[in-house]
Amino acid sequence: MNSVLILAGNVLVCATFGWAVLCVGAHERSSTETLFLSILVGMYIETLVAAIQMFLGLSLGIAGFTTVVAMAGVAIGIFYKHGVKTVRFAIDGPKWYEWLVLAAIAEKVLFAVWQLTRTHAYFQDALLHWSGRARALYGQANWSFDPSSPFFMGGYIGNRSYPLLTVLWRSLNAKFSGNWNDLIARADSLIFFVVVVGIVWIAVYRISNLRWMGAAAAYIVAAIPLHAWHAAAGYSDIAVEAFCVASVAALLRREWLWAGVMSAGAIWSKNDALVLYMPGIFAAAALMQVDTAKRQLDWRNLRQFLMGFATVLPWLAFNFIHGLGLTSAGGQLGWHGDAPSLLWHALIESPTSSILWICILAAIVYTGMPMLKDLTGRALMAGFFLSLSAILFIFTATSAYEFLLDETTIHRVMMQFSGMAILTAMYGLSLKTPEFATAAATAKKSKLRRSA
Amino acid sequence: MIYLRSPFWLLFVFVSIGFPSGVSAQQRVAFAANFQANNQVIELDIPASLEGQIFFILWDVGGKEYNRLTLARKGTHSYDMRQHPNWSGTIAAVATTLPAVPSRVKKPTASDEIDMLFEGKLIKPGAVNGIDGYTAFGWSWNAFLFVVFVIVAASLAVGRGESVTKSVMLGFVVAWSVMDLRTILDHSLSVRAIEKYRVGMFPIAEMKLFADHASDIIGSGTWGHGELDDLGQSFLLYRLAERQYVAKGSNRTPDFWITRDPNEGTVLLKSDHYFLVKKAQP
Repeated sequence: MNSVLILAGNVLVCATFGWAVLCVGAHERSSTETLFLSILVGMYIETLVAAIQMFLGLSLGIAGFTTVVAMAGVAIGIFYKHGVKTVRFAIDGPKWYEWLVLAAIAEKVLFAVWQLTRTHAYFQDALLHWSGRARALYGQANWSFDPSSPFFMGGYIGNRSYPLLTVLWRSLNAKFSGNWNDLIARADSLIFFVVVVGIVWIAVYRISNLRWMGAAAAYIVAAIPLHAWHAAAGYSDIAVEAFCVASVAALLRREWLWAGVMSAGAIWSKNDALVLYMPGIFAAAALMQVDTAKRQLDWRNLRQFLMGFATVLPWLAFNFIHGLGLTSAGGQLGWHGDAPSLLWHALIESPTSSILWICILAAIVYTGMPMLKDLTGRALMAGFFLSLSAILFIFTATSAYEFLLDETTIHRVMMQFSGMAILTAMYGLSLKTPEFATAAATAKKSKLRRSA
Repeated sequence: MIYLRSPFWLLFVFVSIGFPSGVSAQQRVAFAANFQANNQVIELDIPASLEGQIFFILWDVGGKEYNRLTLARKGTHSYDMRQHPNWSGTIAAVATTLPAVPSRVKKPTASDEIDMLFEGKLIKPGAVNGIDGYTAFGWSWNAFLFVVFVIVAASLAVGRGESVTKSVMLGFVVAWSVMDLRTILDHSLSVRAIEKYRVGMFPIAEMKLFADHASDIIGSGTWGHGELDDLGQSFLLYRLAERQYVAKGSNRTPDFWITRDPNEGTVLLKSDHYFLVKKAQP
């Protein structure tokens, strides 16, 4: 019970801090959009600031305490100076199909809650790299920031090159509650799941102005079979997905700084994001700045994006200084002849993603022309194909092939990518939906009415 | 019942073999040999006393052995093998690790297909990396869903005059819902397996108690371990992550040692597979 209260309290601190920071300056976010984004911003800043203090030699307890106090102070300061800004999310009661979607999501959440409360930490990477290192950090007996120690970055139990967002989040919660348990070891996974579904729902509603389309997208992402396990597994893949999808959603709102911060959060969750998603998201952000008439790039917005991204530099610098590397696979280049057929099996024939990828690819092809004619569509397509190409390259032409061969990582990586991919496909489909233009015009009118 | 025509099956019967930790060395009982896997499933008559037991179905194809972890259901039930990629071609022999129960290989009927939907689901270490496949009346599950998608989309576009985009999207959502209903059923079967049968998390169910008792005994002392299986080692490292660990290659001698060999020192605690011992030199 104590752990539940501590977890809830810490989420509240993160969300409040995030909300305060996000509400500084003008924005067009709805309250719900701000809420989901604020949770990620808070978790990212809390763990990053605590990590920087620990890199400098402070203990977990002191780093955690000062970070939380500072975050609360900043939030109070902002609210005191600017007041609590909210934007009303004007929406009627749920429609019948939205109730169905909510029920389907509730089933996944209940299944995750059951796993969290009735089973123990069980899946191997969580036992080692994520919760294992987190528990070692919390216990202090087997953790060190001294590179000469066998316990450096928890290297005796997990991969020392893996970043610390989920690791520190779990150790801090354990420190605040005074003990470690298997709820703390995995509960953040459920938070990330809810955030992914929420962001996809609202983002698709925003781009399409169609409620049924937003609900459909939320349902599609929630029902990806692997999500129900990852919502309680204690892995960081779902955190990567949450930050990536938040980054793309921020791009769609033209919030360049927060798009950059969220892409940094994805890297702080797992280094994979730096290679797999960052190039795609950056390319999308850059393409959104291209003024085709003037053939110029708006560097001011791109600079904001890069400033947000730069927040992860302390981790990248620490990683570089200690030569930790980015991956456990070694990264040696080399073509594997059977990789394409293995990929075909993983993406098209495997029940893990079922018919998701064949349909997403078909949707992207089907909506290709209107997407290419649309500034945002072009950017999203570039982001999608760059990320997909990076995934295909990594699994076919590097030593990560072994994870394709034994199917231990390929499906998890596709799950990381699924939120972004669904957003992209839905954007394309919204351009091809006749109701879209009507709904867009109606929404514009009602927005004008609201602001009046 | 398919009667065994090859002397090969004799090799299979009552041979004691080693299994991953969590399942004791068990005897395997063969019940069919030299048959075509094509669309065949297994039917077992399991007595009430064995309900909820975890067992393996093992089979041999081309000299290579495969297995499937299964939860026993009381009564006569079919167990679907068709989704397993290695259940193909000529099966040299098939066995279970249950004590002799009437068993047979058969072509499933429609009622068997429905019965197999409700087969108990075990939570397995691989669940986080991929989902077990299904078949729908002998069809590949993905192919079945794709057909549902095409039929619904075509009906909406042609029958109701909806736009192509909307028809395709709704067709996909309907197919996705069929898939999700199956997923929800699986979730409920996983919950039932643990809540009703208390089967624990294979293969480390017994290790949790062991690790927690070992943690109490080790206290502020140090610990190390010998050769352990992968998942077992990961689980112990996690459960004992707050206890001072002596890394391999270190010249320190841990106070306590976790091993699979009880002769390595004075046994302080034991489980089916692991021993916490105290010894002078590991």
